[in-house]
Amino acid sequence: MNNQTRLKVFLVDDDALYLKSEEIELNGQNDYTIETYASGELCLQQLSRNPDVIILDYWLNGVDKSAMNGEQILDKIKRFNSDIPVVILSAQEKIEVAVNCMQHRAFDYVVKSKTAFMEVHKILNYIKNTLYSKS
Amino acid sequence: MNKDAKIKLFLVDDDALFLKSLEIAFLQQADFTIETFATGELCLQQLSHKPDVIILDYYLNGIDAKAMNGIETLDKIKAFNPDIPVVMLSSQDKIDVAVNCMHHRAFDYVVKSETAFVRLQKIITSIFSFKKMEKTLNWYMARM
Repeated sequence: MNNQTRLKVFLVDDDALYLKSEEIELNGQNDYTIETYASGELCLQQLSRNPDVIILDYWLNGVDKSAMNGEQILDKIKRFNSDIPVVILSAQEKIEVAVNCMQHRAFDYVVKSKTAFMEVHKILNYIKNTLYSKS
Repeated sequence: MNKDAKIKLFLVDDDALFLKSLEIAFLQQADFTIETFATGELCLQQLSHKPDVIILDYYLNGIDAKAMNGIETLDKIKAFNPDIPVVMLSSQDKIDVAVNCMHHRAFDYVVKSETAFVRLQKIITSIFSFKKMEKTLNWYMARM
């Protein structure tokens, strides 16, 4: 965790519009340092910058068809550092996908909906208060 | 689990019909010792029988409205022995419910549908290959 109490959040989504609105939404809170990535590969390259939380889209092949999907990225992140909490944010409403992500050690799974940002806020707060509370 | 012994399955569901049909489906595959329970409480009382796998319904209050639901039962099973794999089987197809069950350390989550039984079989197979791997790993670790 950084010197201050601001969480460093990585947002990963291939939908530029959604990514931007996510960033704006989270920036409004002023509690987070945010970095955004349009693909999982870019995010992986920057893992050395020590994110506190990663919010990851499930389907990432909107721009590049051969891009890795969220689950593969999740595995790679966990191999790099299994302590980074990864929240999957996805338009996928299939139970199998959600359960599969959880088995791959996602911290939580949020479906993209009107209340998604609220849920993300809640999860980030929870992470901030429990995992990174000053000890 | 003892070698040569049959795999012991606990099935927990308040829907007697579904419970029975599940039991029949499993018995046709042979190789299982099956105990069925209509409520989570009954299942918890019998945990000393050492089940290898527990298949647990999510809503268990069909008979007794005050019965524990699947999550509570799951927690109690995990408190008793965290090594027993518990597969949740439910008619709930809400993502929140599924994710919540996974947070409570369910091994997997299956929605009640026509293909549920096939999926359960696959999961049980994977549970045992997983256990075997774990055992092999421990064997090697002990000799490192």
